Amino acid sequence: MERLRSSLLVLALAGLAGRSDACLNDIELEGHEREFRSQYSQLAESSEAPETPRPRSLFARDDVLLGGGAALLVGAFALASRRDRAGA
Amino acid sequence: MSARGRVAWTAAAALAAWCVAYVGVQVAHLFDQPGRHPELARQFRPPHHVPEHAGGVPFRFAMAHDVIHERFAKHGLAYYRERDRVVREKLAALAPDDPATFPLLDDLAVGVERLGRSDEAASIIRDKLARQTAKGLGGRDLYTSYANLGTFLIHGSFAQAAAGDPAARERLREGVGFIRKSVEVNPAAHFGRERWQAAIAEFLLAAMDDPTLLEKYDCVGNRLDLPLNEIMGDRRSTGYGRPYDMMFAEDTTFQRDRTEEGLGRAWITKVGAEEGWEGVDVPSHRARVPFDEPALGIIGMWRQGGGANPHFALALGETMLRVGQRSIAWSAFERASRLAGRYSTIPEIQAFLRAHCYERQAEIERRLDPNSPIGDRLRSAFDAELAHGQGYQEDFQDYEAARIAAGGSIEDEHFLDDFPRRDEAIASPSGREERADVTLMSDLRASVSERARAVALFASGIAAFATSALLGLRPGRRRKAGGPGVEAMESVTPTPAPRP
Repeated sequence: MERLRSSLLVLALAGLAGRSDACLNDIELEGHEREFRSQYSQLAESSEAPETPRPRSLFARDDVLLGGGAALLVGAFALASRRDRAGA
Repeated sequence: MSARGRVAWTAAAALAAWCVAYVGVQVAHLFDQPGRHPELARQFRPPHHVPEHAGGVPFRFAMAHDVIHERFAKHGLAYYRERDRVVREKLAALAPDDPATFPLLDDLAVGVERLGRSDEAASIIRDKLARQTAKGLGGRDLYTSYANLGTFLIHGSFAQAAAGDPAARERLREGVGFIRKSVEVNPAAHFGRERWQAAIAEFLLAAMDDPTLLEKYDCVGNRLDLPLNEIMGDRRSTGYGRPYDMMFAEDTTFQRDRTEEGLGRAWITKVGAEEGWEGVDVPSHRARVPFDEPALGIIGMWRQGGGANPHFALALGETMLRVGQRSIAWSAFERASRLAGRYSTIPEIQAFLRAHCYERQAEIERRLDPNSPIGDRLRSAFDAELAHGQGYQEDFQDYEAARIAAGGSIEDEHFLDDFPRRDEAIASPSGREERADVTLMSDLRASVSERARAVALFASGIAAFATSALLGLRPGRRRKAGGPGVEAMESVTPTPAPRP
């Protein structure tokens, strides 16, 4: 009796068990696919960012370094020349 | 020292410092990785935007979200009953050997299948196939017959096969064979759905012989027993998966691939067929594949096939987890757990699925917000979203039934014009998830070079200024010690003695 009940339970559950649901090919398929494609391609085109250019620099302080370095160089050569002229 | 000499020493110091600093910065970044510099990332369209087949539909994450929450229109029984009547009328007006009957027979059989009569549907297509063969048709002309017949045989026999009926299992195998034939004659059809249909049916057949497989793998071969940190083990310390391979920024072929076909499908994160899968009898799916291929196959089967299914929901959850879409994965696990009663005929395996989904969800919740429990909030949002999708489908089907009852023709192109929710966008919008933020190795190298030049110029300036200052101070010190220095004395022009 217990085995019979168990078998009935399995059979009852078998009707509910997952199956490999699939695509079916009929007159609607083409329309479904067209609609599917258009739904997501339109949304994607409007919301996705285009490729962006390369970020300018990895280091935010590069401008400071470049400016400071250039100023120091100018100052250094000016200092050398000025002392020379002063001495003259 | 002469002015020329001081300038020369200053220039030499500047040059030396420039070289040392430039080389130093380059050496310091020699082993730097692009992944460590998100601030350098550019935004690209991710590689899964390139479809598998030319002209195919590219995957969007919103598609997965929408099937899980039933956010798509779906015909109801009233529609298929009406279509069955219309198709039979058309067939009655044609001679049996008229080739125009072939697509109508597909429509008839699919309608019958939708009404739950799989065996009758299979019989209709067997008859059609025999007529096609008699007419000498072959190859791609038989594609829809193979695909439909395979599907009907699988559907019609699955329940009995799962219950252990050997004849039903044989019909199931025959159905898988027809699906394989359909793939052979038309491999690119419908996002490759048939390929995944065959693979999933093979897996479920294997699981009928060994139900423990359902506790080890999902239907595309993602391991269920791996913890999240192992799943993400090869994701280069991002802490979560990504839909693209993190290595691609470091590959020299990247630029070429990107130019030729977006970012190139070679960089899509691969899923399925994980460790041990080689021992599972699934000939249609042997190796890891880009995640969008099974995902699109499942989405297609879900929408155009039999609808929600615990195997599909589980596979979407495991797949989304592996590509970093944790919210979609959480929802997929929620859906799978609610469908667990259809996962297996064995109650213990159904219980396993529920427990597995809860564990995955709990882990996702901890990672999404380590400081507060968010499960209840996610579940409420899921309920609302699912109710929205199912409500839309019910409204759509009620409208169809009412229109048909009122004498409307399902073939009228304006059949849906008066559907009150017609203008409502049921599909979800895409967002940031459809962007790839990538730091390219070439960008890192260029940026390091820029930094090296900046540091080198600064070091050069400091060295030049220091040299110049030091050289300028030297004569002053000599004067203090013992009168004018050599340079000062040399520079002094002798003045003539004043005349008495």
